[in-house]
Amino acid sequence: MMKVMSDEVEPGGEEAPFVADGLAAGAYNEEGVDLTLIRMFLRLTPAERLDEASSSANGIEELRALQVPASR
Amino acid sequence: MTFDFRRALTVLATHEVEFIVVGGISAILQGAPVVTLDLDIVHRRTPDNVRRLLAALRSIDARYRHDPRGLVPEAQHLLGPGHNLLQTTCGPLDALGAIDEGLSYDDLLPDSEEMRVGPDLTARVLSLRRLVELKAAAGRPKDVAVLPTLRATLVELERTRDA
Repeated sequence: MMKVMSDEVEPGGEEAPFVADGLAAGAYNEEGVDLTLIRMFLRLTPAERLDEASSSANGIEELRALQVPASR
Repeated sequence: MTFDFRRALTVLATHEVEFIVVGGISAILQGAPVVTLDLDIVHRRTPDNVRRLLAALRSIDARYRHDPRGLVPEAQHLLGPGHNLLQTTCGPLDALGAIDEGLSYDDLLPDSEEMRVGPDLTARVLSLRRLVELKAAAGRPKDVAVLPTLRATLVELERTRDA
């Protein structure tokens, strides 16, 4: 069985123990989708999400521009 | 090429165009962490709205992406149900007369809602639930690939609303 790294909870503490391994922490759903990304994105306003969309698309375009043509 | 989806929506709103945001940007606005390189809209195909849409598109130098002559859209193109795939100064913008075998602006309207997408900017957006249904029905590889993320976002969104 895989050993999960976790911090011990202080006696009397109410917080759930920290689990470093995202797989063990249930960060993914049954289809393998990373729910932490969705929760992060849901904390943004729609306006912020729209700006992120533009920023991501511009980032992809910048990476494309950096591509070195393959040598012949 | 520069992508500025907010500016594209602002231009459409300034020209009082009636449209519904569909596709990747509608998913993103509702919280789905996906990437898209174009803004897809379904516009209302009335003569007055097409006139306003044409004015908006001209202000951002819209031209057909797949035409080497750089042809600009005309009213007769936008009045039909076809997909007008355009390049603009705000990035790629697809003005869709209809989607999914004929669904028009009026067909999609009940499944859309106004969303604040900027300090003084609202846009009508297709609901994530409807988008998931349409993509599942379409069944194309590119739609199927994104469905797990869209479905998971829908679950999280509804869980958040219920909390």
